[in-house]
Amino acid sequence: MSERDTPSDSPSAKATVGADFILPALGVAFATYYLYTILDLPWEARVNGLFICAGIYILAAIFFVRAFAQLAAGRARFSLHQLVEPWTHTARRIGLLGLTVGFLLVIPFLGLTLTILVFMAAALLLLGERSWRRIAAISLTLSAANYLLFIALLKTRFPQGPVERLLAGMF
Amino acid sequence: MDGNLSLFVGLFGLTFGYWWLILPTALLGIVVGAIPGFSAQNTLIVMLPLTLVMSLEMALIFMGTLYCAARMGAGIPAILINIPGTAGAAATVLDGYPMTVKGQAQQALVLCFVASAAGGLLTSILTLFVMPYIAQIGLMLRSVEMVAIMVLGLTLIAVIAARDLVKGLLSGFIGLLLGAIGTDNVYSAPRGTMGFLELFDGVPLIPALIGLFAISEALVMIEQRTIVSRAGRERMIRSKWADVRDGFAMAMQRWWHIVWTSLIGLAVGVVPGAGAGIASFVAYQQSRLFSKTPELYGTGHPEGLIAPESANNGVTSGTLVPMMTIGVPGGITAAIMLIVIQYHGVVPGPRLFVDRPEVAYGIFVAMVVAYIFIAATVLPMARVMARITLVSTSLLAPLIIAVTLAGAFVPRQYLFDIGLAVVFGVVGYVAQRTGYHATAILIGIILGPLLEQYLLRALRISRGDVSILFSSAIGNVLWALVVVSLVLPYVLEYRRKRQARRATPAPDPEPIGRP
Repeated sequence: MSERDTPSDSPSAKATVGADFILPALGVAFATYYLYTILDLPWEARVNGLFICAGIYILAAIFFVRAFAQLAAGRARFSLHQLVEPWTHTARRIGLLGLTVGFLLVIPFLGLTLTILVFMAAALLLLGERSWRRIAAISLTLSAANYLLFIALLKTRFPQGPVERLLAGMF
Repeated sequence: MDGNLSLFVGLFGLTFGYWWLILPTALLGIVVGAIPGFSAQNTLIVMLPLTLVMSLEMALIFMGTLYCAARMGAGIPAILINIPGTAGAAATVLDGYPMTVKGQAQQALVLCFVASAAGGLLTSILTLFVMPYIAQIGLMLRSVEMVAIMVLGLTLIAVIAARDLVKGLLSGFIGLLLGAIGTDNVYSAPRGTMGFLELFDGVPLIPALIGLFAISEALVMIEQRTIVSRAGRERMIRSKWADVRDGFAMAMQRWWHIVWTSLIGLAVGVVPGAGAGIASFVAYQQSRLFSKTPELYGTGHPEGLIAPESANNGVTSGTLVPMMTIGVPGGITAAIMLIVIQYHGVVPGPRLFVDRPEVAYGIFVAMVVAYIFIAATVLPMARVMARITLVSTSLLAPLIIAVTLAGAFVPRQYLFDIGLAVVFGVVGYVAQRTGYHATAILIGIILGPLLEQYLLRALRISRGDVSILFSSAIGNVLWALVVVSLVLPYVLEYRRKRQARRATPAPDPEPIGRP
């Protein structure tokens, strides 16, 4: 994956730290939880986890010491803007993520076909598509293609919604 | 050898006669390889009933073609939309996608197809002649060496993928820990599962891949009108068939690069469990190491695209070698093939080359023919495929999310896996935005269970004595390579800076006495 330039990567600008604390912090938290779950297990079940968690602790310590040293020396500034900039797209991004979570929540009730139809229509609207004819055509085509591929052809056991039940009754 | 040669020629002619089976299978393989969540093994599982009713030779041709085509197809989304179709194509995004952003999608696709077909073709032919000898590589590697290979693989990825080594290694170790979730091999005790029964078998790879690459990329791509840059868009709109020729010429100029990186793929493929993911990163790293222009890697350098693609197609024949010679499948796809072969009453192993040579060599001949057909089929399609980069991201982003979330459900058919893909999507987005590398996390997840398996085996043999990890000559060479991989980038960087300083003339000293 090609990394996009982040402010901390730019040699000319003052480095930014803060947003890049998230993953090491999550890593350390999960490593601690993992160690807690293997505490009482025999050594065969523990050894691999101990090795990996030790690695995470050491690397996270190096990372945090380096970052705080940069902050203390004035060579970096603390900011979380890397995660949200450019601001103009933040609302659309949060909206798209919300719709993605919504996909997960409604699929047990609506089934695959209807969920994709609703998701596509809502996402296209959110991202600026204003032609209803285009929205309907794209959403219907994609949901029909997914039905044909996953349910009719591959017999994948997606949750049944009204469309799947109707079509199962018809054919 | 003469007897073998006439056998190969006969098998070649016979396989060519099945063009009517190879062509549609090649197209199917390219499509399933290009859809994240689908892979050769999933498709082979779906098609298993079909392969069981076919004759053995038809089944071998079908499976070989599907396997090769899916491997090649996995590079298409990696190049066009920054989403590898499988973990084996994870290194392809490093230089493939930057080429697309620059408006060189056609050239990148052609490079990918030529490198894949040539790499696969070369290694399949080579395997036919030297199979009994290269099988020895697999036999020389025990658990100690495998641990060293895993650590080397992860180190290479951290060094290659991230600009910051600490961040790269952290990504890899977080991936390893995620890969260690689930029950242990000896006592089946759950570890790190957070109470989710769906995680008892470990973190499933497809939702992780979809989340880390597809969902996160969809969240990022909406910042631009199209995937390609403004200049790249102009270039893509004006693109002609000449760009396909241009890509072909780029590949031909680097024919030697294709040869040696595909041989790396073959050697890694022979090691059971190592697979295309490791092979492509090892090849990429070696390619950069010996390059005269290592600074161009990661910016859309043709050699950075050729290396992983030749290597991951070199793996296809390598992974079948242990299956045919000692009956141990080198990967999941090989395991499915083994089931089909055994169903037809054939027992793989050393006797197979004497008793049923047409089966032992037949699969490799099928792959040779398949690569010829695939190259002829897919090359003219590069221009059409490349047009996808001009599609608006306001359509592409929701399309990617909808299709890949459905794909996340397919392998295990748990709704939980869709949720997992969303969680990994957020992790991938944060990683991408903060200079970590999703690729290193993914490779860590893949290597996690394997590392545990081999580490535990080695430690059980030594009764817990860690020094066993440094007890073998091959293992120690591999450990030395780990150290070299970590230190060499710093040494090379230091030397480059020193040479640059020497090349820059020092400013004239101010004349004494000047006012």
